[in-house]
Amino acid sequence: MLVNIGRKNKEIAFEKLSRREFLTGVGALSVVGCADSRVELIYPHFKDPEYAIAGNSVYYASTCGECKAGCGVLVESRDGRVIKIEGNPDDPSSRGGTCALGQSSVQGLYDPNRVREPLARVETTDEIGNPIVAFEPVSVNEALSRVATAVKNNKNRFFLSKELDDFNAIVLNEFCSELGFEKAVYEPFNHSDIQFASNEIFGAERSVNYDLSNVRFILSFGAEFLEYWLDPVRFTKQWSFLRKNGLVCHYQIEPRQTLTGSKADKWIPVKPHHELDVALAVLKGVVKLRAGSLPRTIESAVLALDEDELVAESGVPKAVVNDIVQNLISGGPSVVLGGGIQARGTNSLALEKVCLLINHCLDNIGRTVLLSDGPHYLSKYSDVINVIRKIKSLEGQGAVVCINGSFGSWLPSSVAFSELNKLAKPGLVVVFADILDSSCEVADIILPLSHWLESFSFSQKGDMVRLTQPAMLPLFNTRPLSEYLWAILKALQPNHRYAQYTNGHELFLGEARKLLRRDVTESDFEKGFVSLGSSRSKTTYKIVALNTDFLHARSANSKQDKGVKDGHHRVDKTEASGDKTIQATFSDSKQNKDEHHDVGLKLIPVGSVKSWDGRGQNRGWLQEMHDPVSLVCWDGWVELSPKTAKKLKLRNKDIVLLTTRHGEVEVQVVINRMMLDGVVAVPVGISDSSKRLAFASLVSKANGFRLFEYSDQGQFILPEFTIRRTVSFKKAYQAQVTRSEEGRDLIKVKQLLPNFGEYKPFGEHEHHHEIVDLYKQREHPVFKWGMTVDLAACTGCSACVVACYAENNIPVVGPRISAQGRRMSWITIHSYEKRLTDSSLRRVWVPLMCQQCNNAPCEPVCPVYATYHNEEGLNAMIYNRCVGTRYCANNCVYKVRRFNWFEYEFPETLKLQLNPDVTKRGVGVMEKCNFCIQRIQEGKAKAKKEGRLPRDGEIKTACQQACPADAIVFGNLNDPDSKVSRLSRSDRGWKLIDDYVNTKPSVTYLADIVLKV
Amino acid sequence: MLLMLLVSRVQTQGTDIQAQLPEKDLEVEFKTPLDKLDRYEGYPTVGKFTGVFNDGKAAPWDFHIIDYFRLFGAVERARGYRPEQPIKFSHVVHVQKLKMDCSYCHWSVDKSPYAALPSVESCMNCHNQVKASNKPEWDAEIKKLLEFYNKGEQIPWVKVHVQPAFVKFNHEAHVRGGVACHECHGQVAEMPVVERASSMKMGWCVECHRQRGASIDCYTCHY
Repeated sequence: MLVNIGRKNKEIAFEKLSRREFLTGVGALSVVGCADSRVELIYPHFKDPEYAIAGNSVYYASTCGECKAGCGVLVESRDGRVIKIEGNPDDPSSRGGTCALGQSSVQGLYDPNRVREPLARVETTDEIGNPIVAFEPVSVNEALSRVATAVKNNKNRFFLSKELDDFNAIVLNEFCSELGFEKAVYEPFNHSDIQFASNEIFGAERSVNYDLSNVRFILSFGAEFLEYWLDPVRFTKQWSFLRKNGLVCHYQIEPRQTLTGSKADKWIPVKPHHELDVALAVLKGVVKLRAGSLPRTIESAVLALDEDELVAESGVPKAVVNDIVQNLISGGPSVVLGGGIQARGTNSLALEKVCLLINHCLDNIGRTVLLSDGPHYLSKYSDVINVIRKIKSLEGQGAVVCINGSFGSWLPSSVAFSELNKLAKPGLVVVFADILDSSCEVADIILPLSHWLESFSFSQKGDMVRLTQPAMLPLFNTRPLSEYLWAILKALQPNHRYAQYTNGHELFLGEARKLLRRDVTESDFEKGFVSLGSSRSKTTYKIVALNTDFLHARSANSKQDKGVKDGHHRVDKTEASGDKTIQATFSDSKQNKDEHHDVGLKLIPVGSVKSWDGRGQNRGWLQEMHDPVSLVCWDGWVELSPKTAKKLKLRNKDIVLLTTRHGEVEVQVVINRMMLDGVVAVPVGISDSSKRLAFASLVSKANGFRLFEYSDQGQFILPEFTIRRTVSFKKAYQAQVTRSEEGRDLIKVKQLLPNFGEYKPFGEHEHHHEIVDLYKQREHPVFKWGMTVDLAACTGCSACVVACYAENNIPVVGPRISAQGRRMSWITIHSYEKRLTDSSLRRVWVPLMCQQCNNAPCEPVCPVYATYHNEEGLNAMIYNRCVGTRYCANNCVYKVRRFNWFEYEFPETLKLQLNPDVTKRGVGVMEKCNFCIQRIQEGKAKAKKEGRLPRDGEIKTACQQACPADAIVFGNLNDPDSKVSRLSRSDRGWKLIDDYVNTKPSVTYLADIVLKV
Repeated sequence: MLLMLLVSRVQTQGTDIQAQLPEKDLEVEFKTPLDKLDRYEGYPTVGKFTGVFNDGKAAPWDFHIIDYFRLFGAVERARGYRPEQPIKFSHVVHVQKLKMDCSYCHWSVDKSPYAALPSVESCMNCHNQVKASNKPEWDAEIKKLLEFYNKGEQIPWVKVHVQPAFVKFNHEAHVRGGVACHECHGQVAEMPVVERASSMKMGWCVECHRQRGASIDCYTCHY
C-alpha cells in the first residue's frame, strides 16, 4: 500500500540550475521559507493484490538458476520486489542451504548494467577517426524481425551457448535442429568430462551424480565438491553432517589446497595434472584386491601398469597410495571423485574414467555414485572452436551467429572472438545477454534476457523436476531465452508445433506437460519441485569393453606438456629496467640451466567462490568479499609457495605482470603455504574488466582465462609463462596480515583417532590468569541470545558473508576504500594455520562476527550510550544515538565494528533490493552485527501474536539460514534444551580469546575436527 | 524515480530512434507483436514498484527535523501538521456520518507493521454508486477520484504521520496490544482535514511505553 515514498528534495533540484536561476530561487525561497521542503508522498495500490500485505514478505518457492546444480530456494519478495534469496528447507536436495553465488543472485537481478531493452549496434567515429561502437535501443519487434530476416537470408547459422536449464535447452535444441543452426554448448567450469566418461564406460548417455549421505571414505582427485563442483550445496549438507560427528574420512589430492582440500583429513599435494597417475596406481591396488570385477581386457591392462613409475612421476609417496587403497577396501562405503579446475588437464577425461572404474570395483555405483538416464545437453569445446573456424572460413558469405554466454571472457585470445562481428558480415551476430559483458562487444543485436527470478523454467534432476517461477514482474523490457527462440521459430515456420502456443507461458506449460505427463499445478509451484517417482533411476549397468588407451593417457600428456615439464626457470636481472625487475622465464632449451632448474614451475588455473567462471563478476558483494584462500578482494592474484616465491625473489603483495603467449594479467602475489612448490596458481574468472560494467571494470587486468589455451575437450593446457615484478597503480590488499596465531592458542582443533572413538584434544588450553569480575553479571530474564559456530563444518564458502550483505543493507565500498581496510562486512571469514604435527599444517576457517560479549569492551567507552547491553544479552548498537567517536571500534578486541567513513550510495536499481526492515546507516555512524535483530523482533512479534514464546530454531539469522553446512546455530541460551545451549556445552566448545581478555562472548566456537590418519 | 526510468524507456522507443537505424528490408515481420502478447500470464499480480521502499538514504538530520522547522519559523510539523491532500477526503463524512470502521479502509492495520491506505479500487466499491452528493464542493472531489480511477493511476497522498527511517513502528503489535487508534492519531473522525494530533517524538512514545509496562529497550524500535 505504501508506495514510492518519494521525497521532493530541493537540494537535488539545485543541481540542474544555473547560477542565475539559483539566485532567483534563493530570493523566492526566502519568502516561502522552508515550508514543506520534505513532503513525503504515499501511493496506495491501484488494486489490492490478493495475498500480499504491505510490510509482510511473500515467499516464492523456486529453483536457483545460477548454476546447473539448481538448489531449491525461497525467494523473499516485499511488495513486488525481490529482496533476498533463502534456501528452501523442504527441498530434498539442498535442504535449506545456499552458496555465495546463489545468495548474490538478487544483485544479478538488480545489476545496474542489466541490458534493459533490445539494442542494436551503431558504429560511428570520433573526431580523429577512431571507431566507436555504441548500442542504440530498438523495439523488440524490430530486433526480432531483423534476426528472423537474417536467419532466412543466411544459410550459415551458428549458436554458441552456455549450459542452460532443461526447459531452455529443450527449446534451444528444437530451435537449432529446425532452423539448421550448428550448436555448441560450453562453459569453462562444466562437468562434461564426467558425462563423456560415463558415456564411454556405460555405452549409453547416463548422467552421473554422487550421494555422500552415507559415505565413510571420500577420495577426491581435485574435485571441489564443497565449492563449485557439480552440486556443492547438496554435497556440503551431506558431508557436514558426517563431519560434525567425525564419521567421514576424506583424502584430497591436488596441487594447491582448495577450500575442499582444507577440510580433508589428509591433503596430498600432487604435481599438476598428475592426478591420473595416482588414480591409476590406486586402481591397480584395488584391482589386485578385487580381481574379476572389471572386464578382462581392462583388468589385464591395469595390472600391466608399473605402479612405481606412476607414483614416481606424480610426487606422491607409494605408502600414501597403499594407505588409500587400504582405506577404500576396508573403510566402509566410499566414493572416488575426480575433476575440478586444477585437475582439468588434457588427461582429465581419462581421470574420470579411472575414477568411475575404481567406483565400479568398489561396488559404489548405485550406492554412492548415482546414474540416471537422460540427455545432458553438453557438447565439447572442440565444437566451439569448429564453429569459430567455420565462421572464419566463410570469407564474406555471411552468417547468423547467436551467442548466449560470456564467451568473450572465456575463450582464449587465439580464438579471436572479438573479430566475430567482422567475420560474420554481411550476416548478423545476435547476443542474448543479461548484462553488458564482453560478449556484447561483437553484437549487432543484443536481446536482453530475463533473470531467472523473472521467468518460468524447469530442470530435471534425477527423479525430480525442479520448477522455477517468477517472483516479480520483469524489471525491464526483457524476455527469457526460450521466448525469443519460440518467437523466431514461429515466425519462420508457421506450421511448427510451437506455433500452437500463443505466448511464452503456454510454451513452458506445454513442455512441462510433455515431461510430467500432466499439467503443472499451483501446488507444484508451492513446493518448487515435482517428484517423478524412483522408477527413473537405474542401478543396473554394464561396463562395455573399453579401449584401454586412456590408461596410457598420462604418457601422451607428458609428451604434450614436455616443454613445460623439462623446462626450468631462469632468474635473471634484466639490466634495462634495473635491479627492481626480476624476470623468470621458461624455455625448452637445456643450455640455460642454473641452480634453480629443479623447481620446474607450472602455471595452473584455480577457481574461486568469489565469481566462479566470471558470472559473479559484476556483483559488488562478491567482488568485495575476499577469497578465503588468498584473502584478496577486488582483484586477481597469483599464488606462490614460500619456497617458489623466494626463488623468484618475490614477496607477498608484490604486483607482478604474468604473461603467457595468450595474454597477461597484472595482479598481486599471495604467498600460500598450502600449495606444492613449483606451482604458480592463478584464479580464472575474477573479472573480464569490461568497461561497460560498473563493478567489473574496477578490477583491471585480472582475467585468468586470458592466460590459458584449451584442448579440444575444453581442458586447460598449461602454458609457458613469464612472471615479472612491475610498478603499478594497483594497491595490494589482503584481508589478514597473518594466518599465524603468533604463539597463542587461539583456535582449537580436535584430533580424532581413526577408530572413530575417543577424542584426543590437541593443545590443552591453559588459563592465563584468574578471572575476576569487577562488575556484577547482568541478568537476562527471558532470552539470552547466543550462537555456536562449528568450525568442523565451516568450509569457508562465504555464503554467510553474502547473505549478511543482503539482509542488513551493508554498502559496497569499492576497491579504493577496501584497500584501506574499511570494508563494511559484518561477518568475515578469517583463517588461521594450525600446526598439528611437524609435517602437517591445517587451515581453519573462522567466521567472525560481533561476539555480543557480556563484558563488552565497547560498551563502557561509548560517551552517548549508543552501544549498551540489553536484557536479551545483545550488545545493542543504536545508530541514531551514535555520534561517531569510534572509541568502541578501537576498544573492540575482535575488530568487528565497522564505521561509515562516507555516505555510501546505492546505485539506482540496486536500491530496490534494500531490506525495508533495516535502517540504512549514514555517514559518521558505527555499525556491526546485531544477530539480525529485525528477525528476532519479527519472530518475537509472531510468537506473541500466537500467545507463546518463540520456538527453538524458529528465529534464524541470515548467516545461519544461508549456511549450507549448518555450521551456525542461533537460539536462546536461557533455555537449557535449546540446540544452541546443548552445543555450547559441547566438549569441543570454546570462546574466542575469552581466556585472555575475559569478554564472555555469547558466541561459542566448536573446535575443528581432524582424523588422525 | 523508478517510474521515471520506465517513462524514459518508453520515450527512447519513439520513432526517431528507428530512423537512425539503417533501412532494411525486413522480410519477416512479427504480425502479433511480442509487446502486445499477454507476457505476464502466470506472473505475480503485485505491481512492479510498489510497497515500502527503503530508498537507501539515511538522513541524520531527520532526527531533528521538527526542531529545524521551529528554528526557521516554518510550519510546525510536530502537532497540528496539516498538509493539503490531492483529494480533500473527509473523515467527518465517512466515519462520523456514515459510521465506517477504521479497518475497512486501513485493512492491514492488525496484519502488518503498516496500516494500509485503501486502494483506488476499494474507494470505488462505494463510489461506483456514489457519484454525486448534496454539496457541489464534494462533487468536485469525487470527480477527482473518478479521474484517478479512469486513468488507472495511484493517488499521491501526502504523509501526515512521518517517522524517520530508523524508527520501526509496528501497527499490528500496538493494535493487538489494545492501543486504540485515537490514542496516537487523535479523533480523526472529527477532522475534515487530517492533522497530526500528537508530537510523535520519542519522549511521547517512551512515556506511554513506561505507563503500560512495555519494553523501553532501544532495540524495540531502533535497528
